[in-house]
Amino acid sequence: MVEDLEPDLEIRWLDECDVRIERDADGQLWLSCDGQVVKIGRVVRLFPLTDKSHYISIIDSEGNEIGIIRDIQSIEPTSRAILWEELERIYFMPKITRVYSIRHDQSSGCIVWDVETDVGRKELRIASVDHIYKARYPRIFVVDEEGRRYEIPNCDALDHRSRRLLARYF
Amino acid sequence: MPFVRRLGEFVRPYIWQMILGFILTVTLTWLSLIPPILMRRLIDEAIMERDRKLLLMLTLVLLGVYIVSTLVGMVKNYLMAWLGQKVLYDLRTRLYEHVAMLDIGFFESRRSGQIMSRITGDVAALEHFIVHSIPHMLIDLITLIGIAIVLFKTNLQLALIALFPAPLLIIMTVRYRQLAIVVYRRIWNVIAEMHSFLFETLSGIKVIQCFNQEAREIERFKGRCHKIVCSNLDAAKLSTLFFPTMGFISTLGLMLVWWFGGNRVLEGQLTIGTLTMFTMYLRQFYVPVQNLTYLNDVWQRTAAAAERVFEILDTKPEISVPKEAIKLNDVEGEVVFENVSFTYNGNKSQDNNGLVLKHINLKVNPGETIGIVGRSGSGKTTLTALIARFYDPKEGRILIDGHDLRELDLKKLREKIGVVLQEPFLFHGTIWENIAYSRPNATMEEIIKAAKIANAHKFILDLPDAYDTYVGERGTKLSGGERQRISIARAILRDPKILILDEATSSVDSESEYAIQKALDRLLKGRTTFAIAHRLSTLRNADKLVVLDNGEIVEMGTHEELMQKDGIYKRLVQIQALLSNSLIEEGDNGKGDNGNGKNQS
Repeated sequence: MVEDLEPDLEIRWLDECDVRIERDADGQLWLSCDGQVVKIGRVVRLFPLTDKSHYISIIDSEGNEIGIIRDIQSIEPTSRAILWEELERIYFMPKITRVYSIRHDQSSGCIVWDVETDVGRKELRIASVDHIYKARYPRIFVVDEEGRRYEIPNCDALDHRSRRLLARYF
Repeated sequence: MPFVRRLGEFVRPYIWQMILGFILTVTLTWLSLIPPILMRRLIDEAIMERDRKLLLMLTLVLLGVYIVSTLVGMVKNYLMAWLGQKVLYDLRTRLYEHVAMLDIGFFESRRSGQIMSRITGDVAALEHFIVHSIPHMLIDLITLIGIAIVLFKTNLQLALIALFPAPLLIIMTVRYRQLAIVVYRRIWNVIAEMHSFLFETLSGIKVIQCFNQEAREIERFKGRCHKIVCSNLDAAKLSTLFFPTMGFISTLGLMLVWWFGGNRVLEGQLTIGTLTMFTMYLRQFYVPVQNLTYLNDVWQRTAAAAERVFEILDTKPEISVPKEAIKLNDVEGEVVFENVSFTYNGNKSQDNNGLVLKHINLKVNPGETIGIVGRSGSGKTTLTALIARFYDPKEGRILIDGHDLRELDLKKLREKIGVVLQEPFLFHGTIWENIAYSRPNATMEEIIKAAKIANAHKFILDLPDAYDTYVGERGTKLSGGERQRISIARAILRDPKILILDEATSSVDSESEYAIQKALDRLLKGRTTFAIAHRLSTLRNADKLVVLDNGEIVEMGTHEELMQKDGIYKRLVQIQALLSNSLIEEGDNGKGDNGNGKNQS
């Protein structure tokens, strides 16, 4: 129960101290701030869809938040590169570059998108239209049945055929 | 025609576009009357006289008329569509603006579905009347008069023969409308029934599945669908009977013209061109005849829709704000009830006077926490609703920092009040959008800070998109405790001086309650708080407890003071203690049994 409570009410803004992030030989990330060195459990973008480079939460191996980095640009370049690399790995989202076909699979009730992404051709099985997030149109997010996320960075910039296929949703 | 005058208000901003639309409509109608005349000349003067030059000229003129008609038609259609959308937008937004400003009493006396149908369906009916029905009436009238003039001027006898079936057509159309209204009203009703059935069963799908009632509900749904099928087949029967019959009657007129006209042509009293012109006009003539018979029906339906829309627009909010209202910028948080009595409109159930609250006198100092206790229906929620001025007292007055609420600017007053309800309402959007709802210009840092104080930040971090996570419709993707903490974060962000907690922890489990209670303790600091709770232990630390019974304050004091008295509060505490003790004992007995390896069941 107590784990559900915020251990510390004050937010520790890490860019207010001389924050450094390092990766050891085992790939473990370490944070040092004001002489204190803490093992990083995970890093979280607080606004992964609206603002990728601001408000990065650093969490220790116990699951407690060490602090938040307001702006990734404010930390020294080496630490920034390590942190950015880690964030891009965690939040990796294939980008859809072309839509070949969209069909409705009657047996499962899924919507099946045959698409080209920046990591190759994929067949996305989407549970329902509710999993196509279009609130930030023309930037579209799609979550497949297994929770994998895909992004169309700019729907309007797709080729004519892809746009025509997607038109039913927007 | 008062409704037409009022609808005119919505057309006035676009009067020039409307005039242009009318000019184009009239032009188009006149253009449609030209081809038969040209056809007569083409047959009689060009073809019969073998005049190739005239034939070419008339063909080109005909082509020109059709090209101009097409272009004018395009411009007119787009203009009218544009006008329709503008009027629809104005009507809808004006209605929604008005509805949003009405007080709670209005929404309590009407079903949401009813209000929605007025903002969507009725408004669309008015737009259709302004932009489509009126121009079509004009077109039909001009067409009828124009054709009648040409026919009678050309050949009186043939004109009379041509119009012979018209009265029959009018009678048939009127009869059809009478029968169709009944049938279509039935269709509308069964479809509306199906909508409300779907709304109800889909919202309560968990209950249906829990009680294994799927098959029963499917049968009920089938019953409703069957009614829709039957009603639509009735409509189909009616239209398949009437429309071909009316088509036959129109053709009868045409046949009569061919017979009499043909004989006149053979006798040399009429030219072929004139006969062709007659038949062409006749085809155009019967459509407006039928359309104009619908006029009364359209008029009645529009008047009914207008009545429903204007009824809302004419509803004045019961909560009025004086022009010179005091704008409270800083509030200390002193709240005083002076001899306040209240009744809901038309409510006579509470007692002979219908009073829900009776002569309430209460003084709350800035920063104090007041626990409000009492049985269901004792007036607890009503008391707090009066502070936010959702209603005005029928007697007495409520003062904030010495100002009567009725003298204050309502917007400013509500800015100072935060409410956390038993069932938090989240909008379909992201977590940060929901927190920022109380202060849309809040920075991301302020939102994170509010979430942290509300004990929400930690669970938000575990969500796949953190603060960017969509909460689903009404926040269904979150648990009750999580939704409540988001609503507390929303209240924290608003930073209100006066806080109302209406059973804020009663619908969540004990673990969530603990986290929420901690968050509330932080929220309460430095604010005047009115807390309603059935679980009395959560109010133990309140500065003052107010016990309401049947709308009256029957006890007031601290927990210790009230426990000294042998009153309602002490009795309620004892009942709750008894309940929790018996639960603990049952738990202990259960443990003992397990320990002994015995199974009572």
